[in-house]
Amino acid sequence: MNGHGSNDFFNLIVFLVSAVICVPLSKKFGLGSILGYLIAGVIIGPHGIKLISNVQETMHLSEFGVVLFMFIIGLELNPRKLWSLRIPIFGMGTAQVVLNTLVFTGISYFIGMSLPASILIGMAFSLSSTAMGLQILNERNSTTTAAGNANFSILLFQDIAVIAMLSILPLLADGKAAASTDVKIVNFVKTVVIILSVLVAGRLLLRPLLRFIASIHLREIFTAFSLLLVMSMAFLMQYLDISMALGAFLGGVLLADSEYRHALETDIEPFKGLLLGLFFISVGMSVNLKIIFESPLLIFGCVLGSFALKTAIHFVVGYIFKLPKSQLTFFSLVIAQVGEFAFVILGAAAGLNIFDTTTGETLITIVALTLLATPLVVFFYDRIIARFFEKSREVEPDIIEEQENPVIIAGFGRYGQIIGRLLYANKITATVLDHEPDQIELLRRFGFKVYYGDATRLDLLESAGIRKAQVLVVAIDNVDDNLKLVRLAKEHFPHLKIYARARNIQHVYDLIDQDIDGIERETFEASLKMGVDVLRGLGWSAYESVKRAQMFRRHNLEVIKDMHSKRKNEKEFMAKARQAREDLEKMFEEENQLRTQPGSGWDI
Amino acid sequence: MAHPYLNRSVANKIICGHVKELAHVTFHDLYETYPYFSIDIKKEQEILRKHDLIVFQHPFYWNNMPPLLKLWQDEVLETGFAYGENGKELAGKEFLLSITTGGSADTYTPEGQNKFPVTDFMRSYEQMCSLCGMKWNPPHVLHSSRQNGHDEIYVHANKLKDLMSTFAERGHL
Ligand SMILES: Cc1cc2nc3c(=O)[nH]c(=O)nc-3n(C[C@H](O)[C@H](O)[C@H](O)COP(=O)(O)O)c2cc1C
Repeated sequence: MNGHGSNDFFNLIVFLVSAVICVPLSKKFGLGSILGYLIAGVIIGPHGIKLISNVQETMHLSEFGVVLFMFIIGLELNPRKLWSLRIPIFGMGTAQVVLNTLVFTGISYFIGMSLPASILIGMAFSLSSTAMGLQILNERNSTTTAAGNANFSILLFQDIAVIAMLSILPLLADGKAAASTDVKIVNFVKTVVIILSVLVAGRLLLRPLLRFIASIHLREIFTAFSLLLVMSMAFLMQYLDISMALGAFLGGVLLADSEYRHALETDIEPFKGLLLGLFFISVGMSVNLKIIFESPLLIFGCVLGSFALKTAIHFVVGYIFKLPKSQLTFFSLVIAQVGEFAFVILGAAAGLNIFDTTTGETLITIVALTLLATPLVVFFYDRIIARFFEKSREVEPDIIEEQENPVIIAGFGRYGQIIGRLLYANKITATVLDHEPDQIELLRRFGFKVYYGDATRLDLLESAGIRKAQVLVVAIDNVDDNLKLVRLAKEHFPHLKIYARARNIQHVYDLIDQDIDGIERETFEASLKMGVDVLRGLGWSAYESVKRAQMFRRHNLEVIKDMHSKRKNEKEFMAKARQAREDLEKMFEEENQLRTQPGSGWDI
Repeated sequence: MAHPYLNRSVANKIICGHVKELAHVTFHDLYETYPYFSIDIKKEQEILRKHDLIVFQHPFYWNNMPPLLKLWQDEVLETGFAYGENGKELAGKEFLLSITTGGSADTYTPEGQNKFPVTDFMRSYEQMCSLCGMKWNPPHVLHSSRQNGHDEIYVHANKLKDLMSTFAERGHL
């Protein structure tokens, strides 16, 4: 490896090969892509087989992946949505950072670190990994859940907090190094003015500019412009001593409701993915295996300890801010690692001689190991805790005091709601069961009494008052659950009248087998009604269109009954189907004849 | 206007064509408006309030009105609106029955198929008028509606048109 150029080229190949080998393997074992990258990093790094030595540079380059990531996140958050997150961002964010900083500073001081070093460690350990957290949420599609939102808000706040942390860093080194307050105020004003003007100019200029670039119809130029956009935002922010990621995020928000949102997203996505991969590789590379082997107990103790502590603190924060209980554990774990900013802060601290190199390296290894631990913990969570939770979630549905409503509606989506509203309008009270928490919140706000729970469970049905009810409406869309409930009700509560929604023809047959009081195909009536409108649109008279539809309906229902009785015998079934079609034709033909001369017998 | 299959009609279609577009006339096709037989009672009453002459135009079915018109009668002419205490909304309005029959005038004789004069079958209409305080006018009848040539239907339709115009003029005086 002589020339610098060929060295870079070689490095690139090493990265790609290691990724291509490790990531698919890791995914195959269900460990997720992140762990694959991390392991690849450990292997090729300076502490592994030493294929790559310059960790710092790689990490610096790859941090741009995080920047691109934040840009994409920004694209999905228009200012209005962002505004609605202000409480999680500033409330939960502050709570998370302050609590963690206090706890970790306290511990460090307690075990004999100097006060500046303790504060520094406290700050570094309060931060979590944006790249890791968001990537995990992304892979699991949980960015939009309440907990996902909270995770994101906290990570965003940390990006803001880092600015403050970096600026007090020199203060910790020695009291004097800091710039005078005057200079600080000038700097602050300058920063605010620049950001504001960028935001205003962006708002006004960016869209016309994008439109112009897009009108050239050269895809790579659009991609180039997208990248340029993100990079310049990031660069500007770095120039202002603000985190690059935050700048990119702002850029994304600026373009969130532009028509180019999706184009930008698809262009940036692959770059983001690769660079993030590189980032995780470089994290893996900074795991110093030698330090681990020297004092494994200390290191693992620290890793486990900080992970557990952070999780506990997050649990408290999430609890105070009333996150859904079922999501609380996951919320706490996803951001329990110590994040990449810790590398920056610890690196800077080493430069400022706040602590010696061994301490620095040990800390960095601990940080890297907490990062490495995250995907493992998430894996563990999925396999064990989530399962336990699903079970335990079943025993904590809403507590329904024995209801005495005449009607129970199971499933309160679009279908059940119409029935419920009709009853409600006629002052018939119904007890409603549904298992979609978001839905329930919404409906409760509209004044419906909706209970959360799995309607296919006997005890829940009993507390919903099924013994005293007269009618059970099964409006559940999932065919299996729907049938399960029908069977259950039929078996245990023979007094009930049961009306069920049917998804498709097979479902209808299965419901006919249950011999219930009413079966309605969910789309049949609506389609028929539209058929009537179409006939009318073609100039048919209204009443005749309606009559034709009614004939069609009657015929169709008869055919279904027939087909149901013949469905066990395929040959008869097919013959019946053919005959049914012919019957229908004949019927309409007769109707046509009849109607050309209605009442002709009277013409005498 | 009540005819379930106006698109297949001969007589009623021509008649409607004549009077539909007249100024001061609101042509209201019940079967077209309420093919599902769900009548908007409030709206119907509003239409009645706004007019001085009410015309029933329909084919004679079993010597009676088509079922939707019957339903209309049952639902729209409520107590408190059309009759009974405070039910004075129709009082003073003019009423005209205009029908088409398949049978010839001869069928409405003691020897004919219908045995009774056609006006005998209109007693319930007449009684509706008297209960609601509407003025009953000599009914306008087209016999042999299917056997007639179009010319006779045209003559009949024009007569109805003139009749309605006279009412309109009278109303203006
Ligand atoms: C169900 C039905 C019942 C009828 N009852 C009578 C009746 O009682 N007396 C009669 O003269 N014509 C009767 N007719 C014949 C209709 O009055 C005749 O077809 C209609 O007036 C034709 O008008 P159009 O061309 O507008 O449809 C009846 C027709 C139908 C369809």
